[in-house]
Amino acid sequence: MRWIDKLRMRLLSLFSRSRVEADLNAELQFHIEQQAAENRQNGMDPDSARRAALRAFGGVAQVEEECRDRRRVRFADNLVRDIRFALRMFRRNPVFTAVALLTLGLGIGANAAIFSVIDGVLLRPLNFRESQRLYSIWELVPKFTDRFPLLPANPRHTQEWRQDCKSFEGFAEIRTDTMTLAGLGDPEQVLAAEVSWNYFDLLGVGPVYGRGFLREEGTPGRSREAVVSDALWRRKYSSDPSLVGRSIVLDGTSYIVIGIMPAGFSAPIVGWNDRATLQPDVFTPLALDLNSYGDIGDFDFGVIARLAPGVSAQSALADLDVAQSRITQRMDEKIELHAKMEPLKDSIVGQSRKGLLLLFGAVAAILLIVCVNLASLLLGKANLRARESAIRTALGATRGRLLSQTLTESIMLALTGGLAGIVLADWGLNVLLRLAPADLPRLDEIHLNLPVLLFAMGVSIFAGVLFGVLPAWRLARTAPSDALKAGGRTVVQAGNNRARQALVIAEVAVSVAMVAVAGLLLASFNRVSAANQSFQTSEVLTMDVQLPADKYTNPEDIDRFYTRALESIESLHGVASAGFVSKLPLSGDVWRDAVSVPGDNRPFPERPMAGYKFATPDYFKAVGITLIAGRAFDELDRKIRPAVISQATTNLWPGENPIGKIFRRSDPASESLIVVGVVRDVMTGDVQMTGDIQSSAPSRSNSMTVYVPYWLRLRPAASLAVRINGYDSLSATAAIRSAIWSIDNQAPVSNVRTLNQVVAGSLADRKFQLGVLILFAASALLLAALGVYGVVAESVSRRTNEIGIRMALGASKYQVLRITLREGMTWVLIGIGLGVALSLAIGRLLRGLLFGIGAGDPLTIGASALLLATVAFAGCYLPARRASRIDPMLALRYE
Amino acid sequence: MGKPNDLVQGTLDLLILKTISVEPKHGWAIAKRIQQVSGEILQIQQGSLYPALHRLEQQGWIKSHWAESGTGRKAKFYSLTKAGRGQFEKETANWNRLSGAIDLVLAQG
Repeated sequence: MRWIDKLRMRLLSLFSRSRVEADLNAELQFHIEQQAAENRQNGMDPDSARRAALRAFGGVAQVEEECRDRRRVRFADNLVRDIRFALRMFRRNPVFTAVALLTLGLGIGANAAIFSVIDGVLLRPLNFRESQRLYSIWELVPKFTDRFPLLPANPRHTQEWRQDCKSFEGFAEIRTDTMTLAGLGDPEQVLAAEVSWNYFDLLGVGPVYGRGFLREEGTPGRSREAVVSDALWRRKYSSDPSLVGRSIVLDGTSYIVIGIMPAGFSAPIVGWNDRATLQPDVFTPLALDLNSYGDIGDFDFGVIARLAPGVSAQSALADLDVAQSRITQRMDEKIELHAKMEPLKDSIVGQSRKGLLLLFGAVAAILLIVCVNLASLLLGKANLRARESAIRTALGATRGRLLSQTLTESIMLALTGGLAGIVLADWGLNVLLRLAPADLPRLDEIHLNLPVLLFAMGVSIFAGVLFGVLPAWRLARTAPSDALKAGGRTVVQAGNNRARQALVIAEVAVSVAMVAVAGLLLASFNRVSAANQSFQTSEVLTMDVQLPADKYTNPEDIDRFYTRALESIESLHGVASAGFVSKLPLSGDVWRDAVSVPGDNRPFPERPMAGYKFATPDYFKAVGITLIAGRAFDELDRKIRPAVISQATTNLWPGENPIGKIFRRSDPASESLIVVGVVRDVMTGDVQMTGDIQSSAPSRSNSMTVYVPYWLRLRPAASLAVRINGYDSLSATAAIRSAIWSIDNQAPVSNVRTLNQVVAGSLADRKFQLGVLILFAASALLLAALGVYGVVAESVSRRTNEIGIRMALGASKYQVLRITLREGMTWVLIGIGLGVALSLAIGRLLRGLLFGIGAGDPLTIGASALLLATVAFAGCYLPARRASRIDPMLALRYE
Repeated sequence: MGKPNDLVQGTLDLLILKTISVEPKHGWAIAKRIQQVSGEILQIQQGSLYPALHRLEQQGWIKSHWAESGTGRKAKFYSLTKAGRGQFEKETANWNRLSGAIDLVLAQG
């Protein structure tokens, strides 16, 4: 227990200093009085007895100091003294202090804010029971990997795994679809997820009200049960717990609500529809009749699995692969199968990782530049303070003391800046979260919490040491004789200036890289936007229309509805054209099928795949998709099964005129389609998905699209696009709505947006990232310019005397200007050179985030270098001009 | 460890520990006692005594409390802690070993 006593003693010495001091003093006084008493007994008179006692004792102050030393509180004592000194210095340099605190606050705040996003999204484990044992499982079919690197699972395969793979505690499948919810309240479209009965148990999350699914509810032909999300329960059923036990109607079928999920439950969705932020509102038990599935194809189900305790991922994967090869064995045509496991968290956040890390890199770079600037400023001040530290050294201060004193100053500065930063981060995070794309997964798990605060504190101390150590070291190394000999003049230290020049180089290099990266992303963004301009987006209003499925069981009714609704809309004032389509551009595609040309005898899964859409004849005109060849289908084509294909699809008939060619879908029973027209390619999927971001999800970059007339595929849900002359969205929306409701007043019309908004929505993710990055790059640019300005201005003011002499000796203003500029720009140019190399290196890391532009695009990088050179030139020019205007007479008298 | 005053300092520690091992004493009494017992040979300087006391206390070998001295005044009394007693025994053994060794060397003369 000795260390406890020691600690108590130390703390006592440190914190009750006055008591300890009084104690010490009383103790020594007692000693002296005893001595004096003894002297009196030996016959001295009281006065001389006391004097003799004092003389015998020696210096009371020295002994006291010695005792203090022995208590080893010097370090803490010094710290307190250093802090007081630092505070005095801050008060004496209010402008420097304010600038330092502000830039540090912004730098540290930005780091804390981005870190809290990273902490919430990437670092914290998912909110499920022992979530590190949860994996998503994908099928890897070597035969298909060129088109689908990974596939969701085939239900028969999953069944095999469930029976044979003992490395897993369980498997759950999930499949999502949009459905019309009716029953209580207005009909609306919701995202519904069919999940295996054990889905919730596997995750370890249960409903707050009611219960989850039972095993027997996962068998085909049972009565229907549903679990609803907290969001839907609040929005539509005003948080009424008695919803449990009542029935709702999904796509015309009645379901009994058996449970309500808790708030904050974020359902992990994997598989085709793996957008983690698309949260299902309704869960229904997945009940599959496995006999209706084959062993190849039907890769439609996302699978989440939980490892058995103590089993490693490798052995589990080996287990899966054994099962896969057994499946291959039982197939007629042996197709090789493998499996891939991915930690569930990676599947959910995988897409955002690279973007977030990029932002983190950017804020770290900003903080680095802030530190470099402060180091440079402090070095400039070190020049002025050389005399002060020389006197201290002469008076016996050790180098260590000087070093620790200056470092205390910078760390204090950084910690105070960090405090300001945390306040800024708290505020900035709110803004950030409001602007963040809804695409970012786990948004509700982002908070300014303890790890973030610790991080901010660590970063502050790190920054303080980073920008303080070089000036402190310089100051501590000042040779006192030189500094004192220089008299009242400031001391020119060559090493000091070399250090500042190195800092300018570093700062310029980092800034070039930041600007170049922002430039590359900006260029990709512009290309992505341009790629979307293949259709014209202005003055087009879009909305989703959903027909009540129970009322429209007959295809003819659906057909009649579309025809009559279009007639009614087209007769509205100002409507130029209107059309229905199954999925608008950039909204994904739900219907993928083979395009099989005559003579292609490969098995169907190997034939080329296209996204199929149904459309009404005027859809192309309404959205502005240009016709390249042939014509669009029209009502007169009802007998010939026409199709309009996208330009990419014409590659199926290389070098031939595609018009008049025929092809079939994979269903052998389907009749063939005849190509009547070719339209320009339009991005179907989300833009983010088409970049080759590291992604476990199947790639959707295939832009082959086939449009078939709506009467060949009559579905009760579609999107409507209306092109309007003299656009007024409010009155137009109302007019279109009532036109639709004049045909059927029970059809929900939702999601009203202009086509511009549809495009913008698909770009929101990139736009957010880009906006933040451009902001950072601009700050880097500004800081670099300030840094250059600071160094050159300080050098000019230090050399006022020298410049005066040069001018007195006949140097022209122009020459002075040139010399000063050359000095500053030399370092800037070296920095730019390094920065270009740095941006090439970073660009290579970023390749996945770029679109249609090389990582080393010379134009972008050249432009960034030029931009920095210009800004840095301005930073040099201002002080250089001041140098050229120095009056030699005044300058010579300056000292 | 090779500083020349190590021996002297260590010896003072040993003397202090020995002096207060019987009963608690204040600084003045410790100095007096060592002086008397050593036949006035060992004169303890106050400049070394008090820093040594504070260091020993900081190391946890002795502890202090304020109490009335024989003259009726408040004085700071030092006494051994349990750890201090162990240290005292260790240092005594050390000292005996060392002085025995020196005696041996000198006897060989």
